[in-house]
Amino acid sequence: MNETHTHTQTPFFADKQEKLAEILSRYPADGRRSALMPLLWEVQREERYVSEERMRELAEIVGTTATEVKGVMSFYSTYHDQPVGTFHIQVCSTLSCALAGSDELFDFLSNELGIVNGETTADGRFSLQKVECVGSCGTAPVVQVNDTYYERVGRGRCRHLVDALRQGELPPVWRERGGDTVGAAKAEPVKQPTDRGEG
Amino acid sequence: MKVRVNDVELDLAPGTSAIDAVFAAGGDVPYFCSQEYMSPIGACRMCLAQVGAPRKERDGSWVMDEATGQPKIFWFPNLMATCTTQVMEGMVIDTLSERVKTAQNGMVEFTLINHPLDCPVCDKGGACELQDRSYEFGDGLSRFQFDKRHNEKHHPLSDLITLDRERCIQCKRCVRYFEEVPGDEVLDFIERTAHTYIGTADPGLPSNFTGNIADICPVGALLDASSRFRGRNWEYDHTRTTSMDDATGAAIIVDARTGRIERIKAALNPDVNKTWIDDGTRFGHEYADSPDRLTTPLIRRQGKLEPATWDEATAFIAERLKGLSGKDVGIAIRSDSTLEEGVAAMALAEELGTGQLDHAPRPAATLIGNQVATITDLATADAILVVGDLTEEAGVLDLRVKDALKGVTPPTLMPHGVPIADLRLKEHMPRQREILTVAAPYRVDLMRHAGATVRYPAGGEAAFFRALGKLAADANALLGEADEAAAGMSTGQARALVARLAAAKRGVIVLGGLALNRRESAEAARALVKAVGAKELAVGPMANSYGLELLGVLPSHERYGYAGMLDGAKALVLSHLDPAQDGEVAERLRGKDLLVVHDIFMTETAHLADVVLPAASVYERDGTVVNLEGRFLPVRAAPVDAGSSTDLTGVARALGEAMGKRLEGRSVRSARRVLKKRFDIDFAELPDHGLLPRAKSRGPVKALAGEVAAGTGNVLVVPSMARAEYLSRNRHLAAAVGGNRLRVNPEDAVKHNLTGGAEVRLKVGGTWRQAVVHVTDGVPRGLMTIPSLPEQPVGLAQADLAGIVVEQVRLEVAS
Amino acid sequence: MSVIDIAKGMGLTLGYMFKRPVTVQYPRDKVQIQPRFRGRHHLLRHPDTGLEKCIGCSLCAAACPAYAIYVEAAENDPANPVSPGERYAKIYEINMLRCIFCGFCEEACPTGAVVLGHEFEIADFRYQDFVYRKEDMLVGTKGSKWQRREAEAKGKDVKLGFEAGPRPELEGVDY
Repeated sequence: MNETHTHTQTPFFADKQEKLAEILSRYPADGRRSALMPLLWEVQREERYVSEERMRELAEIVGTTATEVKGVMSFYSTYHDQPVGTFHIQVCSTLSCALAGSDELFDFLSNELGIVNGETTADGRFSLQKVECVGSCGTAPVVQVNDTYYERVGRGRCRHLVDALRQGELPPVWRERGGDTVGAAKAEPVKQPTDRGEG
Repeated sequence: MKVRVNDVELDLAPGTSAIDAVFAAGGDVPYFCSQEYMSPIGACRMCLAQVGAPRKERDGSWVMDEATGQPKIFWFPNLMATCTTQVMEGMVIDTLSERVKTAQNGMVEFTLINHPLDCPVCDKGGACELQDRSYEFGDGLSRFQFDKRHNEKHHPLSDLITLDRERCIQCKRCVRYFEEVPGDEVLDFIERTAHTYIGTADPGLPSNFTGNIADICPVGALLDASSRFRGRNWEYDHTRTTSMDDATGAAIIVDARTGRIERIKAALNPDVNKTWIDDGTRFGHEYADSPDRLTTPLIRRQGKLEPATWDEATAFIAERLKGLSGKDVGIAIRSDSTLEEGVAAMALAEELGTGQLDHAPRPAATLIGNQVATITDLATADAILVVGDLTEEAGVLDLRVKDALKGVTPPTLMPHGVPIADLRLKEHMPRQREILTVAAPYRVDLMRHAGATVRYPAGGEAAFFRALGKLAADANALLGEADEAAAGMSTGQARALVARLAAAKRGVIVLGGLALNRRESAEAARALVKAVGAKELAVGPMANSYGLELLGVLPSHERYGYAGMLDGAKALVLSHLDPAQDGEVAERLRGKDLLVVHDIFMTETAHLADVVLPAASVYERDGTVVNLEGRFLPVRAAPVDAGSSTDLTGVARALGEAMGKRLEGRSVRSARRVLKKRFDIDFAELPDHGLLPRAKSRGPVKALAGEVAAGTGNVLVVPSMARAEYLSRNRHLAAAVGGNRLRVNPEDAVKHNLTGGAEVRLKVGGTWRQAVVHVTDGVPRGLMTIPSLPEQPVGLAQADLAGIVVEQVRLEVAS
Repeated sequence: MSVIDIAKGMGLTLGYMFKRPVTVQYPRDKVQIQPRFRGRHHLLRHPDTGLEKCIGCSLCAAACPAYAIYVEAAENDPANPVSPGERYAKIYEINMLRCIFCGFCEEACPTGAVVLGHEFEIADFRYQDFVYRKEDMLVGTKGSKWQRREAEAKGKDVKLGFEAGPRPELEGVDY
C-alpha cells in the first residue's frame, strides 16, 4: 500500500566514501546504527545543520529510518535540524541551573539579542536555545556557546560574554575551581577556547 | 520454579516475568507499557512491587532464617518493575503492602501531571487503561498546581491515524510496535524530558499496519481517524468475528452503533493473527454503511427495475424458472461466501438439478495441497520462500513471517492468557533475514526484510519453480542462460535457495495468487515442495476460497465452471459477482432468459438483471469460514441496518418457499446440520479461536478450473489489501492509499505520456478501470501493475495502452 | 343523621369559603414554582463567546435511566466552531415522552451544558413531536414545540401558557 521516498539532492557522502568507510569500520557489522552519531557530526560540521534530506541519506546508510535519525538528533541539543547562527548560545534549563537563575539569564539574553527560544537573529550571527542538562551542574548556571562552556554566568559575565560575541569572537573561558571559597572575582582566564566537537 | 505471590505458591517456567507470575497467581498490578507480543521495557514504572529472593551460601545451601527455619528472604532495597524482572527460585513478590500501594498511587499522580484529563471528548474514554488504572490505583487527588504541558491536540499522523500529543504518557508502545512487529520504524520519540513527543520524519506513516497502534495505545493519544467522535465506547455493540477481507481469517471486533459499523478493532487469536491486523482489514469497512446499499429486492417490469417485496421477487423467479430446464441454470457465488451459504447454493443447484455451480474467483490449481503448513508453522519456520506480494494478499502472514525472522517461538499461554511481558523479546532484536527469500515480478514490501530477493519476469512463476525443481533434483545441474533469465536468478542463487530449503527442518513455501492462477506454475511449485520436503501455504484469493473448495461448491464438469456458465447457461443466479464490468460479457448477459443478481450495490450486472436481491455484506452474516491453513473460524453478524437484505441462506429459504420446497440451506441452522454430517464439527459451538481439524477430514477434492489468468499481457493485475471494488466507497482508506494505483516505470511513463497523479481510465482485459498513475521504479520496464477486482484474478492481462484516457492531470504532491 | 350534623358540615364548608384557597385557576393563574423545579431541558451557551457548552460527550445519555437521550458528535471546524474545543454535538435529541425529569443528565454533564428549566407545558399531538432536537432546547428558544409551531402559523410571537421568570442561573455556570 505504501512506498518509500526517492532522493533528489546529491548525497553528502558521494565524494567522501573513504571517510564513510572509516567511520563505519569503527563499529561491528551488525551494529551499523551505532555509526549514526559520528555521521551526523560529519554532516553538521560541514553544513552547520542536518537537513531532512541528509537524515534520509544517513538513515539509509546505517539501515534505519529518517524518523529514528530525527529522534536521535532531537535528543541531543548539539544537533540542529535548521541552520543556526555563527554563535549558537545554549542556556541550560535543568534543575541546578534553573535554581541558580537560568530563567532570568535566558530572559536577559533574549531581550539583549531580540530573539526567542529556537530563533536566529536576522544577520545570522546569534541563535538562542534553551537546552536540557549539559552536565555541569556544579557550576550552574551554564551557557554553552557553540562547543564552549561558560560557567557560573551571572548578569555581569553574561553582558561581558555578549559584548565579546558581538565583536565576533569567543571570549576566553574562565575556570571555576568550585566550592564557595572561590568567588567570581577570583575567576581567571586560563586558555583559548578549543573545539570540543571531536569524537 | 517455585515462586510465592502474596501467599499464593506457584510453579512457573524459568524465564517467566514477575508480572506474569502476579497475574498467574490471580493478583493484579497496574501497567501501561507492557503489551502482549512485545518486548517489556519498564518505561511506565506502574507495575512496581516489592520483590525478594533467598540467597545462597558459598557452599550452595540457602541462607536460613533462624527464627523460622526457612530460607531467609532478602528484599530488594527498592521496588522493582515486575515486567522486566525475571522470576528466580524461591522468589517472593508482594503487591499488596502499604509501600507498594503508596508507590502506585504516586505513579498515577505523576503520570497524570501532564495528562489533559479531557476524557469527555476523548474517543478512548470508557475503554482507557489510564482512566481505569487511575480509578483503581490512584487516590483521585493531584498536588500539581501549575499549568500542564500544552501541545498539538489534533495532529494527523496519516489519513488513518490522529495523534493527540497532550494525552501521550510516553509508554513507548507505538514506537516499539513499529520496530518490533512490522519492522517499519516510522514513529519515534522526538525531543527529551517533559518536551518529549511522538513524531515521525516519514509523512503519512509508510507502513501497512498502522492501525494497530490505536488499539495498543493505553490512552487516547493515537486514535483511529475514521471513527473519530463517532460514538463512545460503551455505546458500541461489539461483535467478535472473523475478518473476511483476506484468506488468513484474522480475528476482529466489529463495533457498530445505531445500525452502522463505526470501527473495526483487532481481536486476539494466538494461532492466527495474534492481536494484529492490517490496515485494509481495519479501515476497509466504510462501504458497508454506504447510502447506496440495496435494501429491497428489485424486479424488472416493462424494462425498468422497480422495488418489490421478497415474496414478489421470489415468486417472479420461481415462475420464470418453471419455463426453464433446471440444467440450464447456472449458480455462482463469490469466494467470500460462508460455508453455510455454500450449502444453500449447493441445495439450490441440487433442487434445480444443475451441475453449473461454482465459486469465483477460483485459482486454476487446488488450494488444498498435501503438505499444508499452519500459520504457526510459518511463524516458526527456519526457511521461507514467498512467491508473490504477501503483504497485500494476506497482511497477517507478512507479520507472521517477520516473527519467524526473530527466531522466537510463540509464547505458551498462561492461566491469564498471553504473557504480558515475554522476556525473550527485546527492542531492536537481530533478525535472521537470511532465512527469507521473496520472489515477485515487481518490488514488493516484504523484500525489504528478505535475505534474498528474486525479481523474475512477469508470468515467469512456472519457469522460476521449474528452475528450482531442476536443482532440487540434481544439485549439480546448471541452468542455461535462457532458463536463468526466465527464472530471474542465476544458477548460484537458485542453488543456494534450494540448499537452504532442503536443509531446513521446518521449511515453508508460500504460494501467492500469481503462482496459483496458472496450473503449470502451481504444479511446478508443488513438485518443488515435495522435492525439498517443505510445507506449503497456498494463499487463496478470498476469505473462504479454501472452505468452498473443501465443501465442494464446484461444477460437475470443467466446462460448467464460472467462465463457462456466463457463456452457456440460459439463466444465471449470481451472488456478489459482477461479470458485466467486462463489456463483452455484458453483451452475453443481455441474452439470458433470467438473470438474478444477489449483491449489496447496483453493480453493472445488477443493471442488466431481471431480479436484484439485496445481499448482506460480509459483516452482516452468521456462518463459518475456513482460512488458508484449513482452520474453521466463526463469522458473526454485526447489527447493521441494511433494510431487508439477507445472505444466501435467506435467498434459499425465500426461493424455496416460492417453489414449494424446503431446501437444506434455508437457514444457518439448517445448513449447519448438513455441515455437521459432512465435517463432524458442531458449528454452532465453534470457539472464537477456531478449530483446526487433523488432515484426515479432507476428502478427495475434484479440482476443476479453467486458467483464470492469461499467460501473457502487458499489465499485471496484483493483489491489494485495500479492496479495489470498494475503494471508492472507503473514504479514509482511499485517501491513505491514494486510490487505485496504476504503477508505471518512469521510462514507460515517458513513453505513454503519463504523469504521476494523473487520473486515467484504461481497459484491462475487457474491463474499464479507473486508476491513478503512480510512477515508480518498483515495477520493471514494460510492465504496469493495477490492483485486482474479484472478476480479474491476479496475473497478467492485456491492456489497451494506446487507448488510455487521461481524465484529470493532477500533480503528485511531493512529500 | 341529624340536622345538626348537616349544619356542622355545611358550617365547615361555609368557613372555608372565607379562607384563602390553596388551588389556583390554572391556566389563568399560576402557582409559584420552586427554584429547583425540573422542567424541560435547556442547552446552554457560554455567555461570553456564545458557543455551545455541549461537547457531545454522551455522558448524559449514559446517565439517563430512561434511555431518552441520543447524542451524535462531530468535529468542530476550527474556523467556525460550534463549541469550544474539538468536539460538538451534531445531533442532540431528548425524547420528552421517555424522560422522567430526574435531572441525572444535569448531574452527569461535565460542562454544565444541559439543565432542567421551568417549562412544563410540552403537551403535543404526535409522537415524533416529543423528540426535542438541539434547536428546540438551545437557550433562548421560547416555548414548547407546538407553541412555536402555532406562533409560526399565525405569524405572531410565541404565547406562553406559562411564563417563566428571568433565569440568570441558566445563562452560565462559573467554573
